Amino acid sequence: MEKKGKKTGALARFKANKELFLLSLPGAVWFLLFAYLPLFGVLVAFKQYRLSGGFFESLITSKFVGLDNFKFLFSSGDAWLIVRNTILYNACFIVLGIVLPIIVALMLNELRNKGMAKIYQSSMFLPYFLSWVVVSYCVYAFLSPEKGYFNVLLQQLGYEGVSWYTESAFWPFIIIFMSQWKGIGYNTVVYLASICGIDKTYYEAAVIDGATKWQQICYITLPLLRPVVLILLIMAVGGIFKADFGLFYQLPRDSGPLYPVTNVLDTYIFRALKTNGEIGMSSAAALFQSTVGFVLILAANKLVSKVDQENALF
Amino acid sequence: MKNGFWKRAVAMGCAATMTAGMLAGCGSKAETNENGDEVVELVWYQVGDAQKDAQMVIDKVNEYTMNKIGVKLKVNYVGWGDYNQKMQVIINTGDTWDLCFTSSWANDYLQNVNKGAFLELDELLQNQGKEVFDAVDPRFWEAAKVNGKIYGVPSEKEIGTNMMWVFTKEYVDKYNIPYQDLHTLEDLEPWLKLIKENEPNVVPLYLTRDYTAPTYMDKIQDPVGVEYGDKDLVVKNVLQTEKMQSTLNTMRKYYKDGYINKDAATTSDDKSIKRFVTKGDGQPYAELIWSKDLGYEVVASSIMDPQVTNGSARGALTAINKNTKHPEKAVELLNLINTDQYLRNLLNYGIEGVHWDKVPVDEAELKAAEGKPYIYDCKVKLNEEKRKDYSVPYWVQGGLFSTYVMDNEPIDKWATFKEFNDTADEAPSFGFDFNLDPVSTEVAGFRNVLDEFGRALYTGSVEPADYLAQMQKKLEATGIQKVIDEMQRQIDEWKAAK
Repeated sequence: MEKKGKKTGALARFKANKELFLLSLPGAVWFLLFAYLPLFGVLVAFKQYRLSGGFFESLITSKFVGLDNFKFLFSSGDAWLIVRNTILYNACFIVLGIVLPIIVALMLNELRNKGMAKIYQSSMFLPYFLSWVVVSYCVYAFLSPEKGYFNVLLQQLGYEGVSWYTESAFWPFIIIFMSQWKGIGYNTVVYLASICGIDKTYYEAAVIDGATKWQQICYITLPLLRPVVLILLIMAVGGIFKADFGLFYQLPRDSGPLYPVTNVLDTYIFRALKTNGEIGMSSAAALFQSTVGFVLILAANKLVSKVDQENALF
Repeated sequence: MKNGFWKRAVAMGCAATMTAGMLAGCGSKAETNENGDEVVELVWYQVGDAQKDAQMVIDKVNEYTMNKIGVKLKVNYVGWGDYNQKMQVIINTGDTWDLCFTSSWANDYLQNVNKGAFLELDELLQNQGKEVFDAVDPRFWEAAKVNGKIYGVPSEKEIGTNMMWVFTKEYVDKYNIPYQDLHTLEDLEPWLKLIKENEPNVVPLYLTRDYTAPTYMDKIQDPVGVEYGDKDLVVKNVLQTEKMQSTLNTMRKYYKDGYINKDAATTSDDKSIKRFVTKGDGQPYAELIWSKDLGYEVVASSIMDPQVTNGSARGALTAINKNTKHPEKAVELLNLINTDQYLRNLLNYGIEGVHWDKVPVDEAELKAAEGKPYIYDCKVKLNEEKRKDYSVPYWVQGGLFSTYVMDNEPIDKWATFKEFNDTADEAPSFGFDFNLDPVSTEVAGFRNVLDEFGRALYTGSVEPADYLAQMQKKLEATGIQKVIDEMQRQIDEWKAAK
């Protein structure tokens, strides 16, 4: 009896929210088809994939090799260095990717001249649309050892030119700077939109109470931005094991002497597998990255929910 | 009401699926040719950029092949940069294709054979492919064998690697440089010095990131291989050989003396930079192609005698899908392309009268070439305006020896190629294939180490004394000794069986 009651409850809920369910249908179908259904392909990561007919047939008949495909990730002497690079860079990107755009968004929000604000915003957004390949050539124009702007300038000032593409010391800064340069416009827009969504009456009340601009920012804007920041943070933590391939491969022009500071998981995997073409190994690498990312998201969410139950993702 | 909705939704879905099915059904109606035979369509993946007039040429090809052997072609061109990756996806996912370009350097032949992607051709070559089998140099077939079976039809061209120094003729003439006598890296030194002192705007030795120092070894699995001329087949790491180490020291010396451009390890070829000498992978008359490419005249000399390795002899092949529905037709097609002059030149240069015209050969030249093989009574003059609309890499579709030569090339070009092939020495490891399954984890680690140190070392940008040791340490950590041992074991077995 109780069971039946529950069932009618679900049905009743469906009936009551029919339109909402209908709206979610395309998204749900998309996820089912393109995210959940292909999950069985994870099997490839544990197989030595050999062809015998179509994909499914090959997948089933291929030899099961257990965790062998994962070994190459840790076989090189550089495994530690690569993991360190990946995590440190990404941690840095996450922090800067929150702090800098919020600062810029706050500044843009305070501009009186809304026309100019739009121009600043758009010009900061522009690099976001450029591919890393294009950016890498722009950077090369500055850093080229023989004819780059920087070296020509240095030489005119009487200094010796720097061989930028072999001196690894500069690259952590170049990479962080370029990644922020490229991403700041996009993130700013996200925060700017949230700031615009804050109810104006809070500020009016604050002004009446005599709050300064600085106090308004500290006690109204920032606290109200917190939910957005936390959600973006949790999502970003999940991607900490995935590096932006273009940034680490194209920008340093795949220069060998820079590997100690530019080799990250994605570039390592790319170089490792372009020689032997084992799709089992590439699947293993992707599975590894996703699994770690998944665990990290859960952990980050747990942490957030401990501190601030309301703003946890789930 | 809910049920009504779902019923309708399901009905709509079914209807859509059925319509799609019917539409697909219409397309597969059998086509027949003049003789009433059924025509089959073969899908062929080729490397190279898509051409504006490709469909026009393929239509013309189809007109011919449909009536001759009942085959229609659908050619898919995949750009140079994408070919490897795209083919891996197409092959691994069991997509529809019948023929594809494969080689030792793109869409790797050996890898695909080991994966089970290609059809075994031995029997078909004795029937449908008899003519091409007899026409092509047996050494190409030897190279196409993996574990004793042939999996691809080779395009007959130069069989050996021929590394060359490419000199800019302007400076060779100006300083009277005996370029033909310069072979080894060390031979170049006095002339590099001369250019450095007298031509401040010229890079004496121009190198790019793709440069590999002269290597006297068949790198079976880079950096592991067998040295040229080593009859005992001792497997070594190329960077531990004396020859390579002295070469690297010389490179370093040249770099420090300012003979080499400073950005060699990271730059790609910039044709606007004036250079005296650079390295090229050549074949007979390659200097004609390079000259055209660079826009000024160059001359060349071989660094070492050409060597035939698996890698060099597998420069270009066409393989057939193991799951093709028309294996006989596919072989018949490759047979026809490689032996039919009309079809071969049509595919190669485009339509006669549109993309190119026949021009007569100088009587005296023809007379002088009498008795040589592969001599045709005309040359090709490309139509300056239309040539860019159909310009495909020649060796992708088939052998070169049945194509006409161009008007700026000697009529006996292919005879010279043949002679070059016949005189090229086989490397001791020619015919040996390394099965890397037992060490695939170790090999996966190599590329990272090689890319990290290789380019900087080869171009002399860093001190070999320090960097070689560092590199060796990393290679050892990756397990190079295990790879060397495994290869030694396999090659000993192979030698014993031979």
